[in-house]
Amino acid sequence: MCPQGVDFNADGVNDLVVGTMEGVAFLVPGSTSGFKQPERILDCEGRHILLGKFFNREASKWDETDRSPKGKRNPVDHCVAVVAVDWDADGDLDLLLGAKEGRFYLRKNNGKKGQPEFTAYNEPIPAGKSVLEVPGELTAPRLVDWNGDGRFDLVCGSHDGGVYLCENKGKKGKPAFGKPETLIPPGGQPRFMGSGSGNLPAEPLRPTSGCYVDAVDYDGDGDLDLLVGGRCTWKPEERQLTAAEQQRVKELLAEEKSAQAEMEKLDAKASRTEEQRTTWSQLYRKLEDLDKELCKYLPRPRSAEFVWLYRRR
Amino acid sequence: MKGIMVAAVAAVVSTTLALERISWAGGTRKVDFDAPVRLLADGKPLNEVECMLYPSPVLLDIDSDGQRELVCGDLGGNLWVYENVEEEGDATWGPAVRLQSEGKDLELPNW
Repeated sequence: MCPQGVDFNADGVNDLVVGTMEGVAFLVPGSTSGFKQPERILDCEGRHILLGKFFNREASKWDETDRSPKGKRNPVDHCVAVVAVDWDADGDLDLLLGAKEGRFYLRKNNGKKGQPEFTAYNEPIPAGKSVLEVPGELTAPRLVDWNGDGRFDLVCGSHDGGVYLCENKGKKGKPAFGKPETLIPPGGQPRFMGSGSGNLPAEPLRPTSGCYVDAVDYDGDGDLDLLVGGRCTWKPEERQLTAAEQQRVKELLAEEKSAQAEMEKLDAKASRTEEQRTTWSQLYRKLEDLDKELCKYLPRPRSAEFVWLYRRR
Repeated sequence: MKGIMVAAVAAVVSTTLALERISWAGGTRKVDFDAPVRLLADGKPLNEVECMLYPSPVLLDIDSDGQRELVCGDLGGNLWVYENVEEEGDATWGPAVRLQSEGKDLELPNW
């Protein structure tokens, strides 16, 4: 869920525009007394701003719809990111929607500054003869002037750990993006621990998956750096244990084995009672705690999320 | 300013690593970055306490005090705010606090 700070309603106070996993664009209005409750942004027909796939709150299930331009058929994409930007340089904020699948769509604002009227359909963003698309499952797109030519470029993170740049080679009011170029290569690690742990570093060195990015002049030196939130997996080096530590490890491993066996029994059941579900949750938490303690002594693979600075030279 | 921020954020990686220079050459683009360093908040690696899933950072002046805060969205639909406790120079991020809306923790239906 990547927030963007922008004065969406033109009242002089920063608001937040947020894309969510629900698939719908949200506004968190700011005010001089703080933020108000989030609200779904509506198009000119009073409908939520979304792409094809979304979580239908009324029916409480994942659902699909079609908001393609007349006579066309967009893929059933899932909107996970929203950026408010004056795309066509007409003085009001349009919405760029980012799909998890990697594509981008535009909702033009035909209203006025602070009184938006967003089109009711999603216009795919072209890139040459194809459509604009970043690899590795899109996370957080940011529109910033990366190369200092006065036009906004697209910097975008991805689930594969890569960060990509699409330069804007168009004119003011008519952006035209080039193919994605790699700013940070994909992480080359499994997205989830347990699906392979070879060649892991001994300490967290870089984010390798689920990378959400902001391109910002972090250190005030005049160029844009990258702030990247992302997941990393590492395996600490083995160390010599004291006799007391060895004993503790023995106890913990025995407890772990026993808890795993109990959990496997519950997993094998076709259905579980409420009591069994509670037991399963307790076992899960117990295994987490045991793993946490065992990691102090044994070189087990660890996974965690951090925020990293890539300072540009 | 250039170079001084590294000292503020590099405490959890070795000095050698922090000074390493990285060139990524992917496609036709080559950009030089210093080796990535983990940001700290309240003296610990940021997110060690919060345990966010999929933290999404952005720098912005969220409270209109003229200074940028670090704001992170997460999978749970929460927004975490880190104040820069320095008045000038290197940024030092304070402890995480949840962004408030009308007196309550703000939460978006993200999942």
